Amino acid sequence: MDKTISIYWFAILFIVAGAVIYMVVSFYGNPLDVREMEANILSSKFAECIAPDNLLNEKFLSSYDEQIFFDDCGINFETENSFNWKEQKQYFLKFRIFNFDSNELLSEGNFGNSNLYDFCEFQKEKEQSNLPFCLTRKFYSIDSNENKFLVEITSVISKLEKNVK
Amino acid sequence: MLNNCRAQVGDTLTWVVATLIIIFILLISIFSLNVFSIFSLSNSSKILDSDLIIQKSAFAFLLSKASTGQTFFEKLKSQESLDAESEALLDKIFKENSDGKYYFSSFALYGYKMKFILNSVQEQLRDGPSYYGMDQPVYISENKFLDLIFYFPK
Repeated sequence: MDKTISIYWFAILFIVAGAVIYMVVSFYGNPLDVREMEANILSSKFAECIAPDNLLNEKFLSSYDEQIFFDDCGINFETENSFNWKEQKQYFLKFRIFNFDSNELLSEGNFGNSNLYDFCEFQKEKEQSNLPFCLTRKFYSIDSNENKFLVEITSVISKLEKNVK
Repeated sequence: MLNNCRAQVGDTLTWVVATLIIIFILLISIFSLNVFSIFSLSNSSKILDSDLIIQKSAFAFLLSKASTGQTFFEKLKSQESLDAESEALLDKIFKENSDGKYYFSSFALYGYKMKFILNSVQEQLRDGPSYYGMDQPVYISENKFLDLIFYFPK
């Protein structure tokens, strides 16, 4: 009888341990996709650079060099050195500035890995988690001469390996 | 001998019931964990208290000049309700050129609604069954604020 009970206790121990292991693996095993948050932060940071103190930085109305963008905005596209990310940039940022009244395109600029932007076209109808994440935000801005603008920022983040199973 | 067997049946029954209870508790834990991960973690990134880009548009609106030559900020400060000019510009900023953040699908575009309330919050923001709400107040003075309420689909 004692032998039967000890076998029983071992069986219960394994069942409980198995269930705990299953719960931990199912909770932490799937990566949490944080690219939406990352894209929001990137867009907000860039919006602050385009329109500091809520007035449009007129530098962005002329042609804009990538290095000046990185220096002025304090943004960098560096990533951890895994999955060959150093060679293949994981970020892309595009801005377009329109005249608010006429919708005429006044200026635009692209920074980062422009190949990633192609994936946004596929996702116009429906977002697909196994493709790079695209976020387009628009905001209204004015300059010091009271001209009105509509600024559109598109952020694209790849990083599939760490965010998508 | 017969009495001994009865004692064993009683013991076994106790352990069988105990095992079932243990397994039941484990299954409940596993089920609630799955429900928690689906409803909490996947949606947590969509719930925001404030949004810097919406604030940028709102502040630029307040800094814009109205037809009177005043900024909308100065104009709204002396008003008790929104005038037609302010409403028209706010409409153009937030509705016609709606920000794309929550519109990852075409459905979301139609799920969008916004209200402008000056000087009082008439409606408490509630999360509905198919949308989240975000309240974005922009203070004009100590006790007056422009309240932008956004809805976006779950």
